[in-house]
Amino acid sequence: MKRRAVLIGGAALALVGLAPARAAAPDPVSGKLSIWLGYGETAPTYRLALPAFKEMYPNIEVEILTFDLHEYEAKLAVAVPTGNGPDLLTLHDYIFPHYFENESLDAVPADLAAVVNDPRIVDPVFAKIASREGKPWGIPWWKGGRALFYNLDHFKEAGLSGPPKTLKEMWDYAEKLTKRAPDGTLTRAGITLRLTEGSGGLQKFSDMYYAVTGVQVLEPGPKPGTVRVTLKDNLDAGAQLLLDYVEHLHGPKKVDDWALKHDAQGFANGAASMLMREDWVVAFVRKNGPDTHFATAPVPRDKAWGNFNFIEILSVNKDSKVKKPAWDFIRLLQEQKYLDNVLQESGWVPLRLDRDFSAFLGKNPEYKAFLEPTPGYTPWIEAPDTAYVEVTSRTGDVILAAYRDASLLNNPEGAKKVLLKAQDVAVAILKNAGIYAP
Amino acid sequence: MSGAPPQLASPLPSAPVARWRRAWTGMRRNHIGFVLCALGPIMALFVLIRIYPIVETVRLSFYNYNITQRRNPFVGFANYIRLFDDDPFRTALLNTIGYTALTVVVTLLLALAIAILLRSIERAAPVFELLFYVPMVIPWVPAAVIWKWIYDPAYGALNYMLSGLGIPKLGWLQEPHLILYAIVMVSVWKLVGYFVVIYGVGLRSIPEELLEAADLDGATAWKKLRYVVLPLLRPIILFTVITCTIICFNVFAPVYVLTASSQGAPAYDFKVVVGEIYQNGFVFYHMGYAGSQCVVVLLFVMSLLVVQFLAFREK
Amino acid sequence: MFKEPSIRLAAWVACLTLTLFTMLPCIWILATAFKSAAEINLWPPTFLPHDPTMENFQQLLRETPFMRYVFNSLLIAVGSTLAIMITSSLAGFVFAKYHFPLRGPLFMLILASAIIPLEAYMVPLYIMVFKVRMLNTYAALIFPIMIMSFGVFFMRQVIMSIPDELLEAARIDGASEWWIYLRIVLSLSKSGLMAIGVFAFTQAWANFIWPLVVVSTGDMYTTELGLAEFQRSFFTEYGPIAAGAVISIVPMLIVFALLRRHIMQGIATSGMKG
Repeated sequence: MKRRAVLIGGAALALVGLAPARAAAPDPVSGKLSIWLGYGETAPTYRLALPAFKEMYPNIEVEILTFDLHEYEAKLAVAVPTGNGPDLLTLHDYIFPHYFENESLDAVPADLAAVVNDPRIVDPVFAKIASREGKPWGIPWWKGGRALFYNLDHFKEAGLSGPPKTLKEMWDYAEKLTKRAPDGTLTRAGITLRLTEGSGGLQKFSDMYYAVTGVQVLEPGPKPGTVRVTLKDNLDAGAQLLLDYVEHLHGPKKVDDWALKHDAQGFANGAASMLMREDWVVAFVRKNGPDTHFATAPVPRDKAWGNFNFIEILSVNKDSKVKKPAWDFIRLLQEQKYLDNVLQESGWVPLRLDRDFSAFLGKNPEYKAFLEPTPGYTPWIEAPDTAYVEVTSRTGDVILAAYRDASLLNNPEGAKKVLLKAQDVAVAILKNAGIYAP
Repeated sequence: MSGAPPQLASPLPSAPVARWRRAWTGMRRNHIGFVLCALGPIMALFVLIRIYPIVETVRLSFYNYNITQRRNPFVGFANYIRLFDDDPFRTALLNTIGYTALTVVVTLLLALAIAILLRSIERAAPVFELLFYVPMVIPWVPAAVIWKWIYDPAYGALNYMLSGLGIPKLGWLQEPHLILYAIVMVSVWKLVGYFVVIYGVGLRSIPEELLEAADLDGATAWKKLRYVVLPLLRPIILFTVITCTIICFNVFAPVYVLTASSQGAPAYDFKVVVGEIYQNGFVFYHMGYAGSQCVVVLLFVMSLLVVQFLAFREK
Repeated sequence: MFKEPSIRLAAWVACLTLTLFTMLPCIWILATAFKSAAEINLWPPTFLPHDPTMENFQQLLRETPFMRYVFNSLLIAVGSTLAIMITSSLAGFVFAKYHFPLRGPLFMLILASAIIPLEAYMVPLYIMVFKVRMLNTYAALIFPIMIMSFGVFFMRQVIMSIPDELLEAARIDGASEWWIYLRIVLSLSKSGLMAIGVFAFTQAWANFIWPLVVVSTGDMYTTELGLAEFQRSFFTEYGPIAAGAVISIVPMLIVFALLRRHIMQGIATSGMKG
């Protein structure tokens, strides 16, 4: 008897724990809840949660607006400080510091804070990003991580049995997979590299830089919000990486060309055999390249092995007039149903460790590298800071310009010079923003 | 409309008052009342919409003004000093000057030639003018998509046509030394129709009698052009040169949509000044610094305009 | 103007070539609007649709209240165009035909302010509109585009060519300045006015950055904002964009076609002849 009571009691408690947002009776408060999204592909999930929200707050009108990511960030930056922003803030990890430092965020209710601080539910690496002095200021909701996408047909054709496990293997495989036209121009890239757009360029370079050095180009400094630049301390390894890039972009070992279709589009069209990108590519390739058979694998390793991540954090605007409903909406989004939907619709991975996605994985094996935990695989996240966009764009520009420079072939001194210049550019910007950590 | 002259108790012979009366009558003759009534509200609106925000922006250029932060300290000329070391901005300035020069010359010469030629087939002119104008009304986003396809290295229409002439395939948007011409061509495509219309207005207002008189004098088409048409068109040409220069110096949308946000089909990062201003202000949030860039651009273009005014002014 | 047959031939050749150049990309956009997503992503791309479909239009109207956006854009464009036509012609008239102190500097001021793009002074403007609580209103969207420096400049140039004697004669007949403006100046500068109107309309329609920061509710979107919605974070949906472009262009072409006829009428009845 007693045991049964405990079991039932335990089950009841567990149910309550899993469904904290179900208030007893609907709240009659009225108003408007506005939500702005920079990632439009997650909008269906928010819309899916509307009926349940309506049950709780029948008199609140919810408006969901989506924008292109950069425009969203610009719009948010102008609206929130003037008190004109949305109620529910969806903040990418690198713009989160702005709004925290500007005191635009409402305090997180205790129960949600407990969720964030629980390492069994949210990985501490992510919790740290959204917290200051141990106190969370937002709820990390989904994450994007990178993996190596590879074209199964191309691999079979080239006689390669599996994905490359090390960086060296990656370059070798890329050379084998590259195809040329009779006049020497490339028709297929062995691996499609990120050759344009400063911020992204630096990020993708940093992927491999992490593998060879164990640190990112821009590491978080000791004080939260500060940034260290590691190029000067890893000059040899960094220069060698840059030389590898240049060697594979010019001359006989060329594996990629600026004129080819790149990135997810290139991979979906079969114009590239390998790609290192985030989870959304799965849905993209399925839709836009239905004939492309691919699989995913963890990012290749070298001296170190790690995976880049970024997260989306949910917060509530301090100037909002519907704070409690907004927090309730956020609680609602923590439920399994909506997390499944995010994964299904957008491909972004919800980062709650206590939710089960095995059913999804069974139907979608391509997500393996994103969902399955891999021992030894360290997640790392970029240092979010108020100058993130500027420092990554400008530093990235220096490195991207170097890729175009054929004079760097077999020129370690030249490569070192480029990296030192990149270091100077980054340090100048960080110093100007007051967040440089030597 | 004009106010009544001030009532004086009795006509006084003193000089200042007489001078004042003469000036007042002069102003009345110039309908100063009408000028105030008509221009007044317009200038007020203008101050509100343009002058105040621009002055504010200049004022902010002396601060370290970040739109997401609450502390914005005064820094004097620090922003301007930073400009000297700013490599991307210098590149952007050179690019923009080159782009403006090419686009203005090509667009205006082409538009003028076409507008003049249209006058000899006047009945078909409205149809052509409409067709030339269509690119102006197409929003930049879809237009850029199509031009990116046209410029594609592997399968684009342009390389396809050129390959028929034996020219190898070129990366129009990828090669640093080609992208300038690619963007100029897109801009010409968009702008030429507008200037054909403007020149059309000017050409049509040239009185027929003058041309007929020239014909009677036995003038050839070329002579008519040089001695009758072009001189009379001078004010319009001044207008178009200035307008086109300003439009081109402000170029942003076409460069933005053709080169940025194209991760699948990357393009060379062709920097232009307004692009830099936008990036510094709304992406990096340094509104003060962006303001200082605006001031530099303003001074630069103003001197350019003065030169153009002097070159084309009516005699 | 030129009656020589060689010139007429040159004219036809040149105009037809230019038409090809200007229209080909436009026709391609039209064609894209009727292609399915799969066909749009075909590589190499096709020109005319192999299997025309209305799917893009349907997706556009299904996922967004696009016709509402068209209405908004129309309202703003018409409001702005009327304001610009009035302010440009009136100011152009005053600058062209009247002498008053500071005339030169004021005109240069108006012209100089056109050099700086809206992006540069947008923030103070935004704060100003915000303080009077007029964000997200039609008024706020029309406000910055009620004046066009080029408009004032152009109308001044056009009106300068109206003979002063005409105006003096009217004054001697007892006409007020306003009567002169409304009856004489406006009809004689009609073609210029219409050209300005067309430009103002297209400029208002294509406005992107200002609506982006001012609008905060879906029902106030303009067509440009609506089209941008289809640029997802890492890839673009070309089909609906093309469909939206096609829908957006129709009002602009109608306006242009209508005003063109007006311009022709204006020229026919202008007082320039005889």
